[in-house]
Amino acid sequence: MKNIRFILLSTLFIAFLASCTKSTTEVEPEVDPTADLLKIGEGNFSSTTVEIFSDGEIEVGYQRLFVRLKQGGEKVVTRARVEIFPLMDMETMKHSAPYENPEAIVSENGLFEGAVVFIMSGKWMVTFTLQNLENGDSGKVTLTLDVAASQRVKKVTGSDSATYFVTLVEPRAPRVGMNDFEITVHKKESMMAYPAVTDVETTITPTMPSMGHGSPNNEHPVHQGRGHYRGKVNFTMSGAWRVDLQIQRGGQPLCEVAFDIQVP
Amino acid sequence: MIRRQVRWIVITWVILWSGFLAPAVAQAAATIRVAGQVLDRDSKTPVPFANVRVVGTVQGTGCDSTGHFWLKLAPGKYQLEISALGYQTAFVTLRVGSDTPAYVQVWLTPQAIHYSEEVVVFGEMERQPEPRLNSTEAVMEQVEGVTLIKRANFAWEPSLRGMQAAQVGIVIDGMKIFSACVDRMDPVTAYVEVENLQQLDIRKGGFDLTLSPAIGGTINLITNKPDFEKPFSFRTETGLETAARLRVLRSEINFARRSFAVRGTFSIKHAGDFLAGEGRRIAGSGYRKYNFDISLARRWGSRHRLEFSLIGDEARDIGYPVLLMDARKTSSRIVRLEHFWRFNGGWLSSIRAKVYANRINHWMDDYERDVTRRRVMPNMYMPMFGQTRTMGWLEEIRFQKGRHVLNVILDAYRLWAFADMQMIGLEPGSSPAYLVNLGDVVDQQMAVALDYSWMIHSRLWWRTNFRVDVSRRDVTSPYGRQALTGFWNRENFRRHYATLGISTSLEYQLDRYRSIRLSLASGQRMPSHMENYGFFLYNIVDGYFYTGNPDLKPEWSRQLEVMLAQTASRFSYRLVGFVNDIRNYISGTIQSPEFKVYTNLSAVYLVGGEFRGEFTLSPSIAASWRLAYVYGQNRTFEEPLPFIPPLEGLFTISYDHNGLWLAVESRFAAPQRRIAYRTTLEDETPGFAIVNVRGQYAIHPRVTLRFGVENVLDRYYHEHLSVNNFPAVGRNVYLLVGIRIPGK
Repeated sequence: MKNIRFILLSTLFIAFLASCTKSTTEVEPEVDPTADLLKIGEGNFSSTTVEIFSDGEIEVGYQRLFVRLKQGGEKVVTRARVEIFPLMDMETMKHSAPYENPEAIVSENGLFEGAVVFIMSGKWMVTFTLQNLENGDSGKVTLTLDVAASQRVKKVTGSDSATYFVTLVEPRAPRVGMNDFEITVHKKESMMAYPAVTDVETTITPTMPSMGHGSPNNEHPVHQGRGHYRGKVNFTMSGAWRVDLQIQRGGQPLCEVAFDIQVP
Repeated sequence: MIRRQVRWIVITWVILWSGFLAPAVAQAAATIRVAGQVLDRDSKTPVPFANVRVVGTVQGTGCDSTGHFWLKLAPGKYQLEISALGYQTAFVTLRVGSDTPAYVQVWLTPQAIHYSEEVVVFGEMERQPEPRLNSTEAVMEQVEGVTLIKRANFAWEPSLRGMQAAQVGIVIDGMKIFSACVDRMDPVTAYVEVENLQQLDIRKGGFDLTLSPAIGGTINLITNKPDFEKPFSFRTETGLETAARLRVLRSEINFARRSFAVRGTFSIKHAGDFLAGEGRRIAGSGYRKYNFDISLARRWGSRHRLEFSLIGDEARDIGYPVLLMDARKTSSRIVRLEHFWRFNGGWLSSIRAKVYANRINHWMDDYERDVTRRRVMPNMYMPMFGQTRTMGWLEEIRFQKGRHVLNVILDAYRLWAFADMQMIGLEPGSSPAYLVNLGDVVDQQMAVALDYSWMIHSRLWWRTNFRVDVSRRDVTSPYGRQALTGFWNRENFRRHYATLGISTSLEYQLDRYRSIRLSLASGQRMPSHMENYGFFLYNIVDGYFYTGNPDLKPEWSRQLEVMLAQTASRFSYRLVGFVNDIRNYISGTIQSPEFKVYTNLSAVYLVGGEFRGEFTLSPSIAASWRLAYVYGQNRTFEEPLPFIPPLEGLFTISYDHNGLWLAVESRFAAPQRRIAYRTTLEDETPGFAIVNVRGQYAIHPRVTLRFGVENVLDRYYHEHLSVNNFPAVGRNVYLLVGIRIPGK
């Protein structure tokens, strides 16, 4: 039965099928790993030049930063240690922000990726402490960045009276349908220490406030490491969405935040 | 409850069978003689001096002044061609048994085509061009086994033997056409007005596969064509109906000169809010509708004919009081180009080729509703738009040799469908939302069907159908695909389907009047484009948003039908019983609160029967009785199937004499207490009985009056298939005046 149907399908629909069996062999060209990145600064120490990139305009939120070292201005360094430290000097006081140093000391394409969660807008000084492991040279480069405002970071006081920063990482370009949903959670321990929170549970509830309805098939974010929680959010239609996020620790409510997301 | 329903069924069946067992009434004849009478379908008066020809032979005869004729024929199967000046030529298939004096009544239609649909009636065909009814829906409602799904006082959707939507194929002159509204407000039957309906061809069950692979059956709306025999004719009719203050005007004109003919029709209907029974006015239920049909025909002798037709339908401000929205505007255009080629002698009998295209636009909104108090999605307006475009090719090649007839049908079409919806919040500062219900869905289908029949023996006749359909379908808009990723974790939504249908039927002439037929079928029904790819389809009955499922399997139906029929001059009847067992039945299952997804259920079955009896009590008085019952059970959930009509029937007594026709009919339905509560949320429906009185009188050869009172007792009721208990029309008095030039 199945065979008969298969034969009929193939004979009757040969024209249809023929039209969609194009075979192409594409050779992947060598791509510049910084092609989609934005160069936000440069510097040098000893004989090593430093270039720093971001993957978009610098604004409040989880900001990926990429460091590339070149020895003698030409050869890309693939073994290096990079440490990042953000600082905001408000004259009356100074404070830092959550940040992530590159985990690896080896990078095949020469890009060392870290991140800073800019928790407020304004002028930030980001210091990169660098060590070229290929020749042993080390030094520092400091950038002053103008950070634009956004709604992607929520500062909230938990039921344990501590201050938490909850940051929306994904979706960066929301669209109708299923989207990756990712947040980071950091705790403010002091003005200079914002460790990642790795022991909470999160649930999300997307709704359209003006429509009064939600969506099915969402996946609650689950911890992936370094304070990152990843799940899925389903935006069934275009318009203004709100994702309510409940954070619990050991089954007890810790805090709640909401992100407003405009889906084009 | 069940006992009462069983009692209904038992009483009905006893009555029916007692009729069957009664001795046949007609006289025996010593020779194999075929007698008949030719009658005018409009006036029900005899047509004198018509020509009767036995196709494929030299035999023939003429009618006398009372329309009677007789022939002597050897046993076998024949086709009679009956022609008369001013009438459409009719073809009637006749089976003559070894000792059977057959009696045939032939109805000639005064208007319309000369030799258009040369249909040989193999199975059964509901020839229902009842010019005494006011709408296409009213014609359908007369047929047992057809129940109309009513959502408004407008455009009712037919269901056949408890099957509906994509389980029933609805075609216009065989052409595929698809509703544009995702809420099924615009069934295809809305696009052929009664003045354009030459014949309603209803094929119940999945036995006749020539026009569609639908497992529930196919309804073919055969339209009127230009008439070469009428150099000039004009008909117009205008009138009023009181319940909805409906004003109607319809006109038809035909010109012919030698081998050219042109026909045009135009109709206007304006209806206000209608009165349901007991004088209750249903607010927001009016509509305006305009329909036109232009067709041109050219013939070359009797062998070639070329036709072009354009049907247009426009409707405005259609109130759907029991739904969330009203239709603001609908617009359709249906274009057809057809070539018919008849061959003389040889095996190849004829070739009919059609190319066609149609487009439907459908706008609806809730701007005239108080949306602040709405339960679902309150405080916002939700204008919606839907469009379908279909183009296709249909080729019918007919071979005939002796007692063998083979029709080969090639059927290919491409459907494109789009639907979207805006949500405009009423709160100041609220932002609008937008979604796409059908994201440029494209479905390309091709089919080959074979229809073979063989008169094995003078009393035994065999017919078999075979059909293969293949489909390639996809969501072609990236936005539409993305939206579906919220329900289906995939990138690619393209699907291929291949389905197979086969049916076979044996008919045996028991004696000179009675015949029995056994039919078997196995067929598959592909999911509709909405069942595969629909998004956010709100179902008013159960309050869920339905999402399409690209992984659906075709429904697979196996059917059995037994028919017993008697054709005699005084008493004719047809009794049919059927069983329909369906695997992979497509139904919505709950996926999350508010959302359902279409799913294949393992098994459902339907069992039922129909009866039609026609009695001629005297030359001017006739009675007919029609009954239908279906029992549907969902074996997966062990609950009744939804939208199954209860036992229902129609009893008519008519008087016809000297240009006056009067009929009293009673339409009734038993209560339906078998309801679905898991797959959807139905409620029980009480039974009802209404009485209609209809009449027609020719006051002048050129002027005819049509009048009647429907629901004489002004009962307030609703039918089980009326969505959200939409009430039926109350007492409705109608009066129409028709003028024809030339007169009769």
